[in-house]
Amino acid sequence: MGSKKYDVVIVGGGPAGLMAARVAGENGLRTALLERKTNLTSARRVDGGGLSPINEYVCGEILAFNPKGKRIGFPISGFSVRYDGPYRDMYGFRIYSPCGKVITFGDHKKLKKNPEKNRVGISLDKGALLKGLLEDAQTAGAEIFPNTNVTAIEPEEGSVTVTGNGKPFVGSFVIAADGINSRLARLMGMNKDRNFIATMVDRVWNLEGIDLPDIAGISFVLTDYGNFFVSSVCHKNNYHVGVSSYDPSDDLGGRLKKFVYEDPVYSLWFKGAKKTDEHTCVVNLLSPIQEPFKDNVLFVGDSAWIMEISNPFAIMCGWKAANAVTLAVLDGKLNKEGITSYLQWWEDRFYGPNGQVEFKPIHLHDYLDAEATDYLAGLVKKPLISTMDFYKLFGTIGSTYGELFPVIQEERPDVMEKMMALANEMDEIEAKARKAGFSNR
Amino acid sequence: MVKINSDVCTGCGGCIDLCPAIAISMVNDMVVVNNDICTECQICIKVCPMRAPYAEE
Repeated sequence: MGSKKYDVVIVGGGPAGLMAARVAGENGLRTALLERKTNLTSARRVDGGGLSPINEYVCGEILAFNPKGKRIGFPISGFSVRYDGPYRDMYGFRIYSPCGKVITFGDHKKLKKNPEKNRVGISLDKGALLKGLLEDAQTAGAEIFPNTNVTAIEPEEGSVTVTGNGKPFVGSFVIAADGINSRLARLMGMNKDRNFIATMVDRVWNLEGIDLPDIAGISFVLTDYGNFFVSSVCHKNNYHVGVSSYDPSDDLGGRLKKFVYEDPVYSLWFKGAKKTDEHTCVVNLLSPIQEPFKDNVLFVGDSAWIMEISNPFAIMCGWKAANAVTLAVLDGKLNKEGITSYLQWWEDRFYGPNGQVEFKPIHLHDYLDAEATDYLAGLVKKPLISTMDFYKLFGTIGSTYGELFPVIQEERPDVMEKMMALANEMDEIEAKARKAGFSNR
Repeated sequence: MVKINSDVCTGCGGCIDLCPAIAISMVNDMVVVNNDICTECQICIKVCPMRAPYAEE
């Protein structure tokens, strides 16, 4: 009764939602953004540490970073965002085996000599990124509703009503920017046809007061008691050290303690470190949404889980969705036909190239012992391609070991046998992860 | 009844997203369970990496 009608109601105030609010506001749309947090600029969940594709193309975009002008440009899409915060250059991934053998992506030492040309990403402060986006969205005229929990969504003919803190918000369109486990996607039945892969849980400590010059990006450390990662975050002498699992019953805190304080190889990295902060993450991994639209609701972010953890892709999705809604309003087509530019873009940039890539929830240490993992890591002597692109990471690992198969067969038929068994047991591995998780499609 | 130990909760919101009953929300940046709606399925207790949610008689 008497509730104001918006052109677009955006649910979720992360990078995607705030960018959508800015664009919709700039284009003169009546725009509301609902966010459950009170302080939109506090980043509470684990994210990719702000990695960005710089000097490499990912999903049809390459970022231009301008630290002096405090902006990050998206030159192919044709916009830029404000970033006034600290940063650290990233040069690629590393994979460490239990005894300290390493596969490097990029010769970091060499690359570091020319950061502007060679960095493939930067770690940034998500809070500072969100602050710039929030201020610009507000300046553009978007109405921001913090501390607002969305509990229901009801599409009607040509409009959608979402319930936030028990009150109706009516929009011609809704942009669902409510994260990787989007409640709106679930309520709208978008998850029914998606494969449930696993419930992934993460726990991350911020460690301060250490210097790991070899780590300029994200390093994965495979041990025989868990999968860890160490990433160089934007603040000097600070690193995120985390553990992830596809079985929520695992004791993540115990594993982290063992890794940081007791591991015979890796605890040396963290000597004298001070734990200053802790983050967590729980996500149900689902296969991507093929068509991110239903009944005037546009889905951003949740559609592809790997990209959702990366801030630039969330921003791109929000930007494109809000522009598509603007066109629909200007054209007077308040329906699917009006926003086809978003669907086409989604297909071209995300679903087409990567939508069919199947993610396998494997813990290598369940199938290969430490000695075998060390042997395999030691086979890759030269640095591989310098990248911060997860798809390139998986592809490069696959093709590198594919070429090494004859060597492994010759030198270590026992390891080869285990790897073949792993491939044959994939159905069981997937079933095990599904069983340990909690699908709520 | 399910409660949240706010001393260890990091506020990541994982339990909010996975709750099938939509019984968990964030109020003033704190995670809160609405026990009028909660079905006590205990999924939040099982998935939380901090073990912040707990059941109480």
